[in-house]
Amino acid sequence: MSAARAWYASIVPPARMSELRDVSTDPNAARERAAAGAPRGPLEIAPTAAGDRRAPPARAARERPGALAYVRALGTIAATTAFGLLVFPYTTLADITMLYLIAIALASLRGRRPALAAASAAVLALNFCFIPPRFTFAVSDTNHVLTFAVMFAAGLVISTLTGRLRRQEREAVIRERNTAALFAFTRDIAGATTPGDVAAVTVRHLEDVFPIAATVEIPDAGEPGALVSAAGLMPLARAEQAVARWAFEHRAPAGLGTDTLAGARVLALPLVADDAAVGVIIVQARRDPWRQSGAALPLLEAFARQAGLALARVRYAAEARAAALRAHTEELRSSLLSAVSHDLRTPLAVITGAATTLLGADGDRLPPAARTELLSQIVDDARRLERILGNLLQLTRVESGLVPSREWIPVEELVGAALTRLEDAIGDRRVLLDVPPELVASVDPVLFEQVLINLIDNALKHGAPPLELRAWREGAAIALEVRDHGAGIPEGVGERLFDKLVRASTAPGAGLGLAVVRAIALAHGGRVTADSAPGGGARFRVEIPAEPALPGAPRPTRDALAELPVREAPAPTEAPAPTEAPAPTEAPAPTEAR
Amino acid sequence: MTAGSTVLVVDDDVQVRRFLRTTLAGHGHATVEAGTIAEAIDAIRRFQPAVVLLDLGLPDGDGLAVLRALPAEQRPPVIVLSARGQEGDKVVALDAGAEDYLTKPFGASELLARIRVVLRRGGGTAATPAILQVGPIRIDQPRHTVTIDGREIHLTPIEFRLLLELARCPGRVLTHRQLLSEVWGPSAVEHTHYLRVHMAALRRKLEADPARPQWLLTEAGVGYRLREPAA
Repeated sequence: MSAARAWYASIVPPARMSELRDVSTDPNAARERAAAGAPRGPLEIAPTAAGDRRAPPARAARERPGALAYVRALGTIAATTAFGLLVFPYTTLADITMLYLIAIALASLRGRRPALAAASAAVLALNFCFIPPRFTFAVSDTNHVLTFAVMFAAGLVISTLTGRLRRQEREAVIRERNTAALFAFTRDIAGATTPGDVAAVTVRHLEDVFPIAATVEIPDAGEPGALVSAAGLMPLARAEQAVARWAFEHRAPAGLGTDTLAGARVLALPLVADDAAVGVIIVQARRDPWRQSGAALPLLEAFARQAGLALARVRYAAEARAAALRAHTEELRSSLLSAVSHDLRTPLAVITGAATTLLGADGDRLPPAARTELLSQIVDDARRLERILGNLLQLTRVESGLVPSREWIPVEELVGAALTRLEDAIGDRRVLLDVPPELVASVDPVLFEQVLINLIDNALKHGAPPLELRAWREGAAIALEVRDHGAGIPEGVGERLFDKLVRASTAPGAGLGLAVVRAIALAHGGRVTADSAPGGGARFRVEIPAEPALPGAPRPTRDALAELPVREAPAPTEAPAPTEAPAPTEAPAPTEAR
Repeated sequence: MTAGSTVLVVDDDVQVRRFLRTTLAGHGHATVEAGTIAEAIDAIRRFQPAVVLLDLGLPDGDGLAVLRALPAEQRPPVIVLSARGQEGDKVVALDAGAEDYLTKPFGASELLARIRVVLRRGGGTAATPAILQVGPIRIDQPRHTVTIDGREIHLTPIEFRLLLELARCPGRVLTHRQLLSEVWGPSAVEHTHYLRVHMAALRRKLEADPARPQWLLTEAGVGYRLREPAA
């Protein structure tokens, strides 16, 4: 970064710098220039090393104080003259001279030129009105020439002193503003957690503080060696991209006003941390900058330094997170793999064994009952394999971010579909249902059928009949509960049952079913709980939002339903009768929400 | 009654073909096999099978290409074979003209039942008889009445239309889109919720326990099916 300062110092000659400072200290000049909207700033004024200097703006035009300053200066002198003429009969010439000195001092506060104008006017007025011979410009006493010189000198000294004071004051204000800007930037950038955040904060602050357009580019993760814009709306031309590239690769400023690619319209500052470039800021002056002095560049550099550090910090944090995640995923995958491979191998062993027995030399001599037994073992274990694979697939799908495609569905229909699919597994075991017919949920039908199947299957495997399946509306949620009458959940296991590969009993299973239940419930914005019911048996509950705010169609209303016309109704049209809560006479008395 | 029909098996997996060939032969069906889309189209033209069992993932593309390559009138009924979790693909296939689907892995009884349903339908052009009987459900079209085990139940016109569509071919799945289009017209095909509400009402009137339906079965993510009564 110090290179950049050297750059500035080397190309802006000291005289010019001071000249520029002078301009900046003159509020009149600043105001005038701001009003004129003259596009002058350090980035654009800075001549290039190649020597193609821009024509410096007319000095007079930039330094001339407002006409008002002169009017005021002359007005002060005029007023002093009038007052002097009034009181002259009662005073001496020395007193009048003092009055003029005060007037010159007042006018000198407006700058050097008004001071000189005031001094000139004062000399003329004093000469004409007061110094004998009066009302001529002749001077009888050479002493008065000294008086005139003193008046000019006073004007010069006072205006110079005021100017210096003003400049110091202004620089203090600028310093303070810079410190505040840098502090605000540092504070905001500390909260950034991604390279995009860092870049966005940087661009926002730069564009707040400087009258520039800024873009931050960082290395493209997808394409090694390429830079990608992380924030900022400024479109970059190919030449400007080249400037950014150069600055990034050489870790040195490039572009407008530097030794490198000086013809560019932009200035590129590299973001450096630990001697490595982590990004690059590209800036372009947008309008008349408020920073005519060299103060702009050090501040820009300070921003770049902070942004570089923040970018590096964010990157290290992301790398650490990714490494932790990788380790975790790896661990999970290996334990999942070992558990699942065991669970896949067991049914495979049964299938292979049973099938080879049947196929073997003695297969024909087996009693029919044994043959049937072996065959049904093959079927059972093949189904088991299918279940494990299905759960594994579903789990992977949901955990890798599958978005449920929600529809409004009667819960009764979901339950019915699940029970139909489990018909064989349930057999003649008793299932008690309490599902209000009017209960409607916004869920993914396929995923939620899986939730119900896994819960019922779990109860069938680990619990004891009768099974109880309830659904009800509870506040802002729809609750679904499957309860069995088995041994219940062992003390201290509870929610851990929903973790992968956790099994509470010795019954076969890979410990995936409940993990799938939880993953799907979470994907629906819901939650799962498990406990032992009072009176014995395990109780698993899934709760999902009844009126999800997010995707999917709005809940259909009855009015909306009534609007849909029926196609060529085969009978005289009848009011569309069915509703969400149909004929109570035929409804099986359900629903006591608990 | 369905024995002796030729079945075209389109699947690139030799083991699946072997299983299907053996099972179908055991039940009196002749089989023709194809492993690619091109072979399948060729086989349909040459052998004019009564049914096609079509796997959707073929080496030379999506099995749906077979459906699309032939005009509907030249196309034998197609039963799609697919895996669970591909409900979207099933719906696309059914809406594209497939008769039904089977989720792999499937049992022989399921396979034979689907083939039987499709063959009974005879290509789908047979006129519906005036009186339909599915298990205990009896639909009298001219009189516009429905009875279950002789007991008359009152259906709204919409419910009657829905039941009729499903009963025209018991055992065959109808997608949401197909039912909506048949009953409400093609502009209504997105109103799935509408259909669900009416199906719930219909179930309430037809089923002893609507939460454990015996006849009006839900195929999650696909559509509805009226159970084929056991022979």
